[in-house]
Amino acid sequence: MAEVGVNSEIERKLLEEMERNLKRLANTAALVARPDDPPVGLTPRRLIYRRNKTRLYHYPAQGGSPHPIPILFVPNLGISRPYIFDLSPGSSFIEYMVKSGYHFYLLDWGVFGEEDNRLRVDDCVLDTLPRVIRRVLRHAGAPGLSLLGYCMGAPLGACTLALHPDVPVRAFVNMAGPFDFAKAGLFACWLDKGVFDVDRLVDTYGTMPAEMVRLGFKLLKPTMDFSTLTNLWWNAWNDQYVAGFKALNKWANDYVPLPGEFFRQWVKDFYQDNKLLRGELVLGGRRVDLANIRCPVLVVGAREDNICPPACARALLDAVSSQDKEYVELPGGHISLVAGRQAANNLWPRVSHWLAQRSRG
Amino acid sequence: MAAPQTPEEITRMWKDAMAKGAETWAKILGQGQRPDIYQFWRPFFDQGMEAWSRLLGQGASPNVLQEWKKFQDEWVEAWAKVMTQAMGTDTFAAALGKHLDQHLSAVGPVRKQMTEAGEEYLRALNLPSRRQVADVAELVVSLESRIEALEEKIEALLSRQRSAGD
Repeated sequence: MAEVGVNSEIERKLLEEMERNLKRLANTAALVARPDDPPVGLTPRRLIYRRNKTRLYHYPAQGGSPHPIPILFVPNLGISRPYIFDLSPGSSFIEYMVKSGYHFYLLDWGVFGEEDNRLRVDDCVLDTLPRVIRRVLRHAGAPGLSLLGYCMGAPLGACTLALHPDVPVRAFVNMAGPFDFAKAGLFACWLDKGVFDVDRLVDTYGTMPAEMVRLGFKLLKPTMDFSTLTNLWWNAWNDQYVAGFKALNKWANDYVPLPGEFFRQWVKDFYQDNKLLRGELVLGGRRVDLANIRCPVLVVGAREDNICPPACARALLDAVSSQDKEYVELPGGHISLVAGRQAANNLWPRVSHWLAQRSRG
Repeated sequence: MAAPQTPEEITRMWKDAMAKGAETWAKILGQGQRPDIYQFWRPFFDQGMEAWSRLLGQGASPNVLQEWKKFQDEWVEAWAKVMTQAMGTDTFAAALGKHLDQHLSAVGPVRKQMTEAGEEYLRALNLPSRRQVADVAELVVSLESRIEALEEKIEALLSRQRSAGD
């Protein structure tokens, strides 16, 4: 009798699977035959400042009593677009933070063109970011702000704070931002000055083309596309999963170029010579000393991050003079740390809680 | 490229993708000749089939499909780790650098020639070249920046005047 029970259970599962297969076929056929443009970035926002390609957006706090200290979020420049932080309702870091009572300001560096190829790290740190900080403080009418940096945005933000000790920063959060480039994993190995001729690349193209950025990131995890497609097939019966896939897939294939001189400086000074951590980085004739950072600092590393491994991000803690500093290591990779279900359960509440204690007027 | 409409087209696309993957890997690893795609991917499939047989050997379970998915994820993850290790070596980095150098050697002169020819053609038509348009855009950006600096200075002066008046 027991055997009959098992067999009927298998039959039931098989029937269920057949039904799912029909749904999978229908959904994947629709994906291939009628690809649509999924809506992203739906949290209400207002453009408060624009300059060249750069935009500063304000996402007003939702709920009763907002925190008096606003957040300025600085993501990576180039590579990918920042709508990953506001992918869709329920899957949005920005939506979570505004619902937690924060006035959230997003710096969107924009998509740079040929006319921006002479942009350097110096321009971002000494010009754009200080202006953006002034705009946020003025717009919010706040006595200070918290600065959140993700990926490349974290070292850019940290350089700005180190060179402008007068900025009333209440807290700095480094989310998977690289600082010790000797520990930057595969990219550190591939961009080594003995094997990678950045001058030749930039002199040939004038820029770091989006297609090359895409190749570099795809090569970082060659099994990624296979996993993505098998996971899609496996979950294609679930309409909600398919909707989430479409939005994430749109972002995952939306690579953008890096300005040529910025990329040259980024590779040479940061990856090849590790100047920031060594205290040898000079921007606009001024040496960047991370020890000038004295505000509370939170560093969040992602355990399976192969772009900025945990040790690479954590190095910031030893370089700053802050008394109040903390390191948290969360599960996930470079992207899943900040976006997706795992991020919603781990990173978002963690950052929100840490900032809340440091966001009192 | 048109979206595949039939299972045959999807299969052909899949085979093409496998062939391209094998060729890319062979190029990166410095193996000049076109690889046999079946031989190239063979170790992946052998390992997979072995684990699949082991799974089946444990007897049928109602959750066999879930177990298969779990096994597949672990298998892919194991391969990702192996690949990451291989790609983190100096040899791989050197091969990648060499590949890029070869690419730039091929692309550089062609790009230069095309740009020059394009500029010549546009000049003949009395039209601005892409570089010239980019130069004008750069000028506009720099002007925007100067205006903003002036605005900020005026605002600071006004605010100082206001506080002196109070």
